[in-house]
Amino acid sequence: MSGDKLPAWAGPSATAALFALSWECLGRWQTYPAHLFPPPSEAARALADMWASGELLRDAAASGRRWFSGLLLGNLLGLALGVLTGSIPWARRSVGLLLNFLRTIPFLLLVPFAMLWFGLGELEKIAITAWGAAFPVWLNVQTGIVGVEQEYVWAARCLGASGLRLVWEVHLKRCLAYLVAGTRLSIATGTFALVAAEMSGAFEGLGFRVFYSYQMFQTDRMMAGVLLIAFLGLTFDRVFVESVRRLLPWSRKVADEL
Amino acid sequence: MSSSPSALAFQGVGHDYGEGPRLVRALDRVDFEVHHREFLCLLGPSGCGKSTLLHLAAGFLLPRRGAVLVDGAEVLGPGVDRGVVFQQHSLFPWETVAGNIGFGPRLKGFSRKEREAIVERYLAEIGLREFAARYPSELSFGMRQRVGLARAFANDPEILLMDEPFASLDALTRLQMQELLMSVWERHTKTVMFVTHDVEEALLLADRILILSARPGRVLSEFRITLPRPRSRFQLADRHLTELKGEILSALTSTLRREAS
Amino acid sequence: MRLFALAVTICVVRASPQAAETTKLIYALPASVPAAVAYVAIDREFFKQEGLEVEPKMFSSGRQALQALLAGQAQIQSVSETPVVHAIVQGNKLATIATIARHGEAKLIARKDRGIFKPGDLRGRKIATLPGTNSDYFMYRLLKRHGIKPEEVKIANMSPPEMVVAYAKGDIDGYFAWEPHIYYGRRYHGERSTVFPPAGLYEGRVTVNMAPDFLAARPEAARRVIRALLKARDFMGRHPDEAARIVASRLAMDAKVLRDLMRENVYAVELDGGLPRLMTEVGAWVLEQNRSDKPMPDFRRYIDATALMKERPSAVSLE
Repeated sequence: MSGDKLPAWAGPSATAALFALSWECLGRWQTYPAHLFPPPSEAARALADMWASGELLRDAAASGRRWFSGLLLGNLLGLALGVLTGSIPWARRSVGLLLNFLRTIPFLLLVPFAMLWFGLGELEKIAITAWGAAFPVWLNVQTGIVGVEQEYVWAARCLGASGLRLVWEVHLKRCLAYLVAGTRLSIATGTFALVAAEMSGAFEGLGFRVFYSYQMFQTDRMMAGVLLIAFLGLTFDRVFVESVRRLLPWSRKVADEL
Repeated sequence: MSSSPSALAFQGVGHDYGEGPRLVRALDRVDFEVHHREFLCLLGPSGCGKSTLLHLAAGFLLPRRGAVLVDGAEVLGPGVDRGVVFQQHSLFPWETVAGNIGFGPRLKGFSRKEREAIVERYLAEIGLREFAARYPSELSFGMRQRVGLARAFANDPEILLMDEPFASLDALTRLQMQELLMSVWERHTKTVMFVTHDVEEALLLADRILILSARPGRVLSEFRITLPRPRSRFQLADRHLTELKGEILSALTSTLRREAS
Repeated sequence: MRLFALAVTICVVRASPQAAETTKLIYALPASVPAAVAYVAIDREFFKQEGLEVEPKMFSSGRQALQALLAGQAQIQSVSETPVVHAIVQGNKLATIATIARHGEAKLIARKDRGIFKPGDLRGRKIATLPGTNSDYFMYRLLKRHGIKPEEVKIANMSPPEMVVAYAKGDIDGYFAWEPHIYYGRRYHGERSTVFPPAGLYEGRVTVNMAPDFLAARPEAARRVIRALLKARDFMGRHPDEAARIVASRLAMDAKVLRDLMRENVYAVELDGGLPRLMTEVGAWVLEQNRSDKPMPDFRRYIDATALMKERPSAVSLE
C-alpha cells in the first residue's frame, strides 16, 4: 500500500464517504421506512433550507452563546474544585465523594430541577452546560495535582517556592496537561448537557430545533440538526487539540496521544 | 576547630523508615561536619542511607533522632540556602532550559535583565547556549543533567547537595560532567556534599571522603584528599592515590561483608 | 428526550405487518380524557369478546403513541387529529378508521393577576406551548382570531408537566395544554387564573388509526376493533359512573375531577364530514408553520370508512 504517499486525512475521509454512501443507498432503495431515518441527501437539503431561512444561523448563535459561557464557567469551576480536592486530602474525601455522587446524574433528569431553581432562561441552560463541563475537568485536575511528582515539588522548594507560589509554579503547571485533557472531554459533555437543556424551555437553539422537528414529524430536519451538532462538536475538538499543540509545545507528546 | 559553626553539621542523627515490625533503621548515630567551602563526598554501598542523609540536609525529611544544623541553626525544611542536584534531573518539563535555570532567580525577584545575564553565564559554562529555548524533552539525558547542575548553581545557594547526580550517565558523559562540575565549582566555590558510590569519582572531586557503613548507616572512616586543585584525571594514577583507593575499597568491601553476615 | 433516542433505534427496524392470525395487537394510547371510549373498551375486555388480544400501551403524549404506530411497534393507535395531520403532511402513511370523541380539551390558562383577562392581553407575556400538538393549534387559532402576531408573545416550548411547574413558579404567565394539565395548573393558582376554553374556535377529534399495510392484510381486525369500540360507547351511555371510574383509574386521577372534565367532550364512534375539513384546516397551519411548498394532502384518502360502514352505517357521514 502506498500508505505514506496519501495525506493523513485520506483514510478517515474515505471511511466517512463510504458510510454516507451506503446510508444513502439503503435509504433510497427503501430497505426501511426512509422517512423515519432520512438519508444524507435529505438531511443536506433540510440543512440548506434551514440556512436559507436564516433560522440555522439564529439557532447556532443562540446555542453557541450558551455553549461558550457554559463551557467557560464549567471549566473554571472544575479547575477550582480540582485544585481544592487535589491539594487538600480531607477535601478530597468529603467534597470529592459528593462530586462523584453528583457526577452520575444523567443530564436529562437534571433539566426539570434546573428549571425549578433557575427558572426559564439563558442562565438555566448555561448552568446545565457548566454542570456537564465541570466534572471531567474536576476529575482530571485532581488527578494531575495529586500525581505531581514529589521531585518537582522538592526541586521547586529548594529553588525558593513555597505555599501558594509553589501550587502555582509546580502543581498547576504540571497538571496543565491534565487540565487540557479535561477541557477536551468537557467540550463533549458540555454539548450533551446543552442539548438536553435546550429540549425544554427554549425557543431557539440547535438542540431545540431537533426537538421541535421531532414534534413536527420533520425527521429530515432532525437528522440535519443531529449531524450538524456532531460535526460542530468534532470541529471544536480538533481546533482545541491543535491550539494546545501550538501553545504548549512541551506537551506535544501528550497532545499527540489525544 | 574554628569557633564559628560549620556549614552543615549532623549531630547524633538517626532515622528510620516505617513503623513497628516493618521498621527499617536507615541511620544509626551519624556525627560529622561539613566545613565552609569544602567538597565532601559521602561514599558507601547502596542502601547505606547516604541519600537519606542528603534528604535530611535538604530538609525533605526531619530526623527522628538527633539534629541537622546549617550554620548552627536547625533545619526545618527545604530552603534556597541549600541547592539540590538530583539523580534524575527533575527539570520542570513545562519550562524551557532558560526557564529552568532562571527559575530560582525569578522567584527571588530578579529583573528580567539580571535573570537573562545569569542564565547566559551558566548556559555558557555548561556549553548549551544554543539550547536556551528548547524544552527538556528535546534534550539528551546528559544535557538535562547539565541543565540541572546549572539550575542549582544559578540560584547561588551556600550549600550544594548532590545525590549521585552522574550515576545514570554513561561512562564518557560521566567523565565530562565531573570535569564540568569541577570547573564550575572552582569558579563559584561553595560547600558541597556529594553522594556517590564511585570511588574514583570521590577521589577526583572531594577534599574529604566519608565512608558509610551499610544499613544501619554510620560513619566508618574518613579520608582526606590533599591533591592540589585544579585537579586532573591523570593525577589519579599517582601511587599514593592508588594506595588510598585500595584502602577505601577494602573499607567498603568489609562493610559489605559485615552486612552479608 | 428519551423518546428521540428510542425513535432513532426503532426507526432502523423494518415496519412489517403482523402476518399471523392470533398474534397480540398493541394499542398505543395517550393519557388523555377524551380517549375514554378506548379505555372502557380495554377495561371491559370488549376486544377480547371480539376475538382480539389487545394490549394497551400508554404514552404520555399522543405524538409518541403515533410514533409507535409509524414505527410498527403498535397496530392500533389513538391520538388527536393534529399529530396525524403533521405526520401525513410529512409523507407518512396511515389510515384513520374512526373517531371516538369530539373534544374541547385544548385550553389556555393564564394569570389574571398579571393582567390577562382576555386573549388580547397576551401581548408581551410569556406563554408556553408544545409544538405540533392540538393545544399548539388552538394557540394559533386564538392568536389569529384576536389579531396577535406570534412575535408579539414570548413563546417558550416545553412539555405540559414542565408547563405546570413553570406556571406554578411564576416563570410563565400562562400556557396552552390539554387536560388534565390545565387542571393541575389551576391547583396552584386557582383564584388567580383564567381558563380559556377552545369553544367555537377549535373542536378536535380523537382518531383511531392503523397502518395501511396491516389494514389491507387484516380487514376483519378493523371491524372487530370498531365493534369493540361501539360496545364501549354504548356501555358508557348506560353506566356513566362506572365509565368514569375506569378512566379515573387509568389516568390515576380523582374520580370527581374527572367527571367534570369528561363532560367537556362528546363521545361518539363516527366518521363525519367535519373530520376532513378540520384536518385540512390544521394542514394549512402545518404548511404555513413549516414554510413548506409541499402540496396540501387530500385527507379523505387517509380515512378508511370501510369497517365502520359495515358495522354502523349511520355513523358515517363523510361527504
